[in-house]
Amino acid sequence: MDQKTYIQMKDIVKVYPPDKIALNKVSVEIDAGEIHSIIGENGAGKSTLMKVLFGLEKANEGGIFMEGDKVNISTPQEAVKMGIGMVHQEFMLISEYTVIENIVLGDEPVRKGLLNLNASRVKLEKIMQDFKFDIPLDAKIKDISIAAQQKVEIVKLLFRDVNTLILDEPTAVLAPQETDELFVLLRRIKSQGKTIIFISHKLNEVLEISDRITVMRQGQHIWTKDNENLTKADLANAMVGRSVMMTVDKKPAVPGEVILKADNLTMQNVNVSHKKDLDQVSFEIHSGEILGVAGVEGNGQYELVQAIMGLAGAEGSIYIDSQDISGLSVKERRKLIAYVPQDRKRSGSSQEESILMNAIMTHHYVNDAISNKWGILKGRQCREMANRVIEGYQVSCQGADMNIGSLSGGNQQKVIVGREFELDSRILVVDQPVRGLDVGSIEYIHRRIVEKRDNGEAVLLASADLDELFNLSDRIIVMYNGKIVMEKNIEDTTKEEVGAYMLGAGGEKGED
Amino acid sequence: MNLIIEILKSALPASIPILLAALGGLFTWHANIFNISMEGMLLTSAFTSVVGSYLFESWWIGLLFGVAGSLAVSLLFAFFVLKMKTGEFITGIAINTFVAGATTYYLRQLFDVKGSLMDPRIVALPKWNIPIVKDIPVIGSIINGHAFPLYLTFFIIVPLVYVIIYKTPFGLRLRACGYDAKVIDSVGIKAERLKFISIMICGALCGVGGTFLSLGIMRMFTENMSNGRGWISLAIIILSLGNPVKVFAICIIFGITEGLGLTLQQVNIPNQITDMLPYLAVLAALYINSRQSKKKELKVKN
Repeated sequence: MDQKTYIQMKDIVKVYPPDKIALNKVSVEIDAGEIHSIIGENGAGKSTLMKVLFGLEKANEGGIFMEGDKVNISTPQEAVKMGIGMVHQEFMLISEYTVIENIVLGDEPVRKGLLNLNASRVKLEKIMQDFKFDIPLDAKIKDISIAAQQKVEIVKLLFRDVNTLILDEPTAVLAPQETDELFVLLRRIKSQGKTIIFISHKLNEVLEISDRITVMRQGQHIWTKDNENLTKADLANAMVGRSVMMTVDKKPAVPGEVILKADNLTMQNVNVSHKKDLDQVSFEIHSGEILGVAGVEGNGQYELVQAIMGLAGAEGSIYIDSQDISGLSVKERRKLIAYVPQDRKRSGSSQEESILMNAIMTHHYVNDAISNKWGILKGRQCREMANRVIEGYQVSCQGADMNIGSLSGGNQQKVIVGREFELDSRILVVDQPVRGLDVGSIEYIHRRIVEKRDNGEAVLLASADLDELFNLSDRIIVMYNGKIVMEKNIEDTTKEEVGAYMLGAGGEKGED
Repeated sequence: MNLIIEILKSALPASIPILLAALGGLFTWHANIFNISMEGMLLTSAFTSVVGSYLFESWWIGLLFGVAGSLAVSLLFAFFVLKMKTGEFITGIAINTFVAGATTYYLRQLFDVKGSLMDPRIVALPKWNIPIVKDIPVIGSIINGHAFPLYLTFFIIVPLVYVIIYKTPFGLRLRACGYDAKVIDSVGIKAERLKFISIMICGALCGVGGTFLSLGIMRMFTENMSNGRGWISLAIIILSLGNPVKVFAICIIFGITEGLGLTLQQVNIPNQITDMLPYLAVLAALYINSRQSKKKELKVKN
């Protein structure tokens, strides 16, 4: 162990009963003042390792050393006392409370038995100044953006004089430019002598921000390297354990006739009367073509998908094969369109139900093979259908009767994708299909989407991830303020150009 | 004029049991516990306080018994809800039903009476004469001469509850626990413990409320004496969104209409009808209140 090692985790073993080995003799050394990324696929053990360090999980074997001394961390409070803090993926904030109330909660300044928030204000304002935060202390959490809420979580730790910050997939909830802003902030925190442990599976980001990178796979430490001359492929291969295609191999598109056509879709914002969520949106998708929809979250991509699926009302018309479907119900539309929704937990699946039930949803009324003419399900055929999804889409599970909620996010998504891709439709609408998934699952789902295109389907892909859009799309539209501000073939544009349009710059078609 | 004074004079004590139950329930409401056992707590303490007062011929032992009885019920509630993780609503119903049966049973077993127990051995809570105030015409005769917990409730407990819930670290944590228990756990405070404390506070306040019912307003115990006050207190809490000031106001309305009801009974209106009055008044108050907040919301939106 060399001089600058600050935290050492040595031979950590964690077994979940009865016999699932989550961590198998993992050793990691964190240096003082570095940004150290820990990457791995879902289930690789990176979160478990951090939970052990933060006192949320107890290791079965192994020890934690700080500056050479063995320490015992069995609760998050002890971790905070040792100067280790963690920002969870799910924010631990009370949305009805103000920023300052959230920051002091559990550690409140008191005068004569009463809350004395002003006593903390001085300290907080100093922190905000030192690190150049710009969050209003008296605003309610529910009124500030997700990115600002994340900053509140970070200030919460700095307020408790934490030296080491663990950030669990902090960029998963951020738009691209918010990520950039976060990275500037993290570098500033680092420059003040703090140590940052960054958990992620977004390889670009890891390469951009890290001083050192540790890769984990299946509960084991694979390697730790300085971030010099490493490539995305190096990381991906180490994470997955085999070589991974970082870009989807795809043939040039062979667009056929127009299948889906949107004409002047306009949707009023429910809260603000002069704001339009969709403003005269028109486009066409041909068979055998993937149309990418780019945009910073909240600029109408979500509403566009909702309008196409009939989940939200919009003016204007939608045509499938020149037939106006604007009057059709969601159920009728689902017979024509396969749809992978953005929120797999709430709209994509029923978390309390089995994989079997989730795999046959929608099929139960479009597919005569699994139900008879009175709508009674045929048990054996349903099971066959579910097994086809499980096998065909590499869902790792212990049978079709497991609750879908107990699967990892990637496997849940595979069930949903499998269900939808098995539908006999010619149009595919996918909204953020790989959000929060690991490299292996992403590669797999992307390949399937391209396969669908090659089979002559019309694909609409909405995504906040420019890499994904540039990998898959044949044509791309950019939405800003509910309008389409750019439309180009993918080979005629660059990420920089799309990024600029997403932010509303460079768009002569966009207003204000 | 005398009639109005009479109504108002009986209104103040009539509002106390429901007010104390509602203030207690405020704590559990803010901790996000669906607590309906205020009814059982009130009834238990109304009974045990009479037992204590009867056995020792002392009002303060009566009060002690009252609070202890109610705390026993809240311990039972806390044990099932927090330890055994049973449903809050089901547990509350079970407790309320159990208490209704148990108090009636023991009333008959211990005292060999049916319906109600009146006895010279039962000592009521002392009534306070407030110097100066008692000499003010009208107001003096309304405010003066009630059992002492009334003054403690109005002038100490109500403001104290407000301060505790909105101005202390405990209150901040309690409300946070109600919004999202995970958050409070994440900062190293056990949400379970906060919930337990809130149930105990509720028990203590209901204990005083129940005692006031049997030893403050009257000097007797009647079967099912709480008569739905615990239930309606929950309705008041929920619809006033846990605001102690609103709770206070609605409880006063309850008291006034109950006083009005008692007075109307003397002019030959059946008491079943007059008994409905306070509950109807509370419903009306809640309706008006929630309509107004809806209007406000609409205004904010536009």
